[in-house]
Amino acid sequence: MADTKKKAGNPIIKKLLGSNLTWSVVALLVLIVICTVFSDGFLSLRWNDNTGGLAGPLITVLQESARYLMIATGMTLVISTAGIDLSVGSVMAVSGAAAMQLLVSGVNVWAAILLSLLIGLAIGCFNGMLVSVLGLQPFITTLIMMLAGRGLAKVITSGENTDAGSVAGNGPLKWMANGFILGIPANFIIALVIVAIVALICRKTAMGMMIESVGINPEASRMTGIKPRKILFLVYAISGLLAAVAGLFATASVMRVDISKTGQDLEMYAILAVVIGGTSLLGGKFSLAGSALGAVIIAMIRKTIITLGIDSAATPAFFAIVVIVICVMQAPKIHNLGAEIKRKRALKEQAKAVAA
Amino acid sequence: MTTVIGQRNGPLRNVPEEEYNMKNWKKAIAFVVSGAALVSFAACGSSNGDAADNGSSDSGKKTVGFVAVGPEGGFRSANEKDIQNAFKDAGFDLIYSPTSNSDQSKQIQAFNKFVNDEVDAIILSSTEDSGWDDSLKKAAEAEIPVFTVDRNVDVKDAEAKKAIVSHIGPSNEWCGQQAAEFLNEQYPDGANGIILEGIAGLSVVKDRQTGFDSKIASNQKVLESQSANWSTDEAKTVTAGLLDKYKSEGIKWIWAQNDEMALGAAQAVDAAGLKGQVTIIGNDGTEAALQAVADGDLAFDIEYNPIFGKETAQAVKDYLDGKDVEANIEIDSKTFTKEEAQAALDSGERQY
Repeated sequence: MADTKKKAGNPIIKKLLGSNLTWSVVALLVLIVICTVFSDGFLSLRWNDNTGGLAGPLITVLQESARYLMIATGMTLVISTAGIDLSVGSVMAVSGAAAMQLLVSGVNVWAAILLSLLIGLAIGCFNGMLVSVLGLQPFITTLIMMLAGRGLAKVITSGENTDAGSVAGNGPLKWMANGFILGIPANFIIALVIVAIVALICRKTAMGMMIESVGINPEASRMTGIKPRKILFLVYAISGLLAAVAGLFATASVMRVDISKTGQDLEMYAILAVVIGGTSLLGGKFSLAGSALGAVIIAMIRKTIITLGIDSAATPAFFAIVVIVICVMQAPKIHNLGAEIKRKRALKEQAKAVAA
Repeated sequence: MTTVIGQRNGPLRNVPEEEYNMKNWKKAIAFVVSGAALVSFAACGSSNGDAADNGSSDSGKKTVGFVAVGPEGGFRSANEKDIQNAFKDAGFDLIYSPTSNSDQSKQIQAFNKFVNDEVDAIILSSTEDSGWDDSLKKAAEAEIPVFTVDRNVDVKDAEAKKAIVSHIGPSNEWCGQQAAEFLNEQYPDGANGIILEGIAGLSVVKDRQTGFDSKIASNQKVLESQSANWSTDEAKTVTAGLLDKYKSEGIKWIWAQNDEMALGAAQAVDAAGLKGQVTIIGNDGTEAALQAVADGDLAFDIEYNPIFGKETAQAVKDYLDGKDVEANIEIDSKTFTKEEAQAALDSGERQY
């Protein structure tokens, strides 16, 4: 009885061990455990009457992860077409700057939100057009947009860090980043809903498969009737739009845009989240759930840095070490290490037996 | 051939695919490099033209090169606009050369170009305090006087030191001292607090910290000092984290090394429902921070006065006229409590 059960369980365990998702969850749990050991109140949650939601360290992690969720989702789609979008951080700054500047100049808050999302979409479409129609390198196209975007943000606010905190009627935007739905941060729920919509479109229609096939071989996918140009254009447009949402989250949280700091280095965080999620940078198969988990892990690593009180000079190194450890944990070679050792041992024993 | 056959064990398409991608990346890097080179050439070309124009058209006017930081926020805009206007009023030709994203290499390029163009004087507002020795040595050889403004530069070479005539700017140590003295007064029996630092390694951060440490009373306990990279958004996250972490100890004061971070800290304190129970101190005297002080979100703000264009222009003029100039011209700054902040806002005289 026990024997058969063990045999039946094995493939499932094997499958679990081989999955990137499992190791991401393990990494997340390990980080949480480390934080709990260092600071006993880490898991504590309490109701905050002031904000009308739950409060506690884990809640701020969710709040911060919303923006990473957005850019990581867009980045996943782009990377699975064997491209890359380096402009997401700058698009965040542009959309945030636009929203704040519009609010300050007296535009209705909903119009400001809509317009800044449209600006993000427009930049995404521009990237998409250069990559798909003109066939430019994604790396170059989006790198240029990354540099130009920062400049554009500075032009929009004329070099100032626009503060819309005291503008009357900024409520809806403020709520987007700081509010709560049933005690859970609103921005996290909004981000999850958007990720779910993207995932549904990708997996319930042929969209996801088309994206993957373009990433594996654009020529072959064209021959099978897929239009790689349209797909490429679409993924960059989506990435731009989602980055604009992330920009709104980042600026609305403090109702202030910081033209040189908003979204700075976040393109790298998005790429890291995608890699942790198990999507290959060479294109092809992608995992939105993996990237989403990767985004939460990125937020968790940043939280760990604060909780452990790591010296500010050492934070980049700490960040890098954690990411490397997660990637090593996920490497198939490491997973097969156990089996490999067993096989070698068996071979040795066999050799011994033969010799005897 | 043999290696190719060896690789065929894997999926067939992977081989060309990977090679193809490798080539793409190499191409990409080549593009970036050539693109960057083109851009810098263009920049050199255009500013060269400017310099030549300025030099020849108004031969009577003295030409001054301004190695600047460029748009970075309220302080910088006010500071650089003021310097530009002051030099114009004083009858100089000022060539403004901003960098972007605090890129020092671009500043060094601009500096060397001013030396080659043999301008009459150079104003240097450096993004970093080290790495200027070689450029300054060239300026000393060409006998071009250099005036550092805002951030001081750290020079080791004696030859290079000769080029610097004077440093003009407010004192960062003084700013830190003011914050510490305010806290000592506010909490004579001592209290727990945290410090939000700027970007690690900057001279501003070091100087403000030195000033703070020299004056803070021993009964004030710094629970933790963390960097929030000058950013409002990061300061909010960091402060929220630290408020959770030191819940049992109780944080009574927060010293943010600039206004942006102070504003973020205030929002985190507000969200935690602790508004009014934590003393938050900002630094720089920007309008948004003064408003926050007047509203009671911040307790105290220390100005870092950006308006010293007149003093700079005067120093340059005096030196070129052969008069003696002080080696360190310290610009006075103010501090703001709630009433003072309201008065300053009402007066409408603030330029930033």
